[in-house]
Amino acid sequence: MFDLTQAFEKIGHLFARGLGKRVFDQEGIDGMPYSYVKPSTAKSRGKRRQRKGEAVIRGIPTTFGGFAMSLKRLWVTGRFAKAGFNYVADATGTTVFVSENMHPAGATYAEIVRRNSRGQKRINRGIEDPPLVFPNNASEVRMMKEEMTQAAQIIKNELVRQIKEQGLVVARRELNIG
Amino acid sequence: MAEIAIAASKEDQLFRISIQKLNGLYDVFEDELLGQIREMRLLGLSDEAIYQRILENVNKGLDYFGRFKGALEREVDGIVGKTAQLESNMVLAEVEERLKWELDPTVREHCPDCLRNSASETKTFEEWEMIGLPGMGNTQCGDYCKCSLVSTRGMAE
Repeated sequence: MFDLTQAFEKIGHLFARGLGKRVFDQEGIDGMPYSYVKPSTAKSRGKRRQRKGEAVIRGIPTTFGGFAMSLKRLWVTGRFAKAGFNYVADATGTTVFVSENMHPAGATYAEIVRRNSRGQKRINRGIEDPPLVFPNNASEVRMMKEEMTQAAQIIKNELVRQIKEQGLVVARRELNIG
Repeated sequence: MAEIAIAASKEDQLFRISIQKLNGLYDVFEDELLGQIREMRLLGLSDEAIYQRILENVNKGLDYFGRFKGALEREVDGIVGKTAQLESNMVLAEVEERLKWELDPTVREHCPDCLRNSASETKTFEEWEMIGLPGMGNTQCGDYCKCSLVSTRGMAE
């Protein structure tokens, strides 16, 4: 029997990290950059940060934690990259999902993705050209080509390793070699 | 042989990558290995000599192990291809709603059949089956087709 739990652990981590990194980089899984938030949104963010005494130019915050953040989507704080996506692996596969944990801004990560990702049922219709944050179907999962290629390699390596290991066990048993 | 499958649910915001028929693969592997051992015995090799040959084959990826490894690698490479598409079709076969033919955005040029299908109105799974499902060879791009059927539920009106 093969057990690919460890391989699928690696693959789950790979995809969850890849999804988070794309949010951080503001790039959809289709490779397209996220569109900027509307000026009105950026301005209201600027006012909030102004009240907190952060750097602001003409109502629009320029930097936050060293990154130009003001026009970005999904309330990028680096938290999304770390905690927005998760996975559960078992011997036959891995399930990657959007976390139902709370983002500090007051909504779950899942809810934020539901409102912002293209193709989602509760997408905010006000977003022009919404980004593809999370895949809606198998075809869109395949768009994560780098992860897909690495996943195939991980499975191949693990199956080959187990075939070698178990092949010798079978041979020793059949040949009565200790 | 093994099958790699991808299934996604936008309702639950999850997708699953899995490998199926793995035990079948292991059974084939074990049966063929035992067959090899029997053949070598018939050729008069001692058990120790047989084991040394198997060990060498395993370590160097020769003979049966080499062939099996090659077949396995080709099979797993289907992760980015046909198996995912067929899995997607199978999942949609259970869905009672209208489906849209979607062009694979990673493909630069699409065949006229796929372009026509993607431009046509949504259809039920059975109607698409009559025309030919994506990846089943009914389009000019044949086996190279990477299109998929997608649910229209929740799509912006």
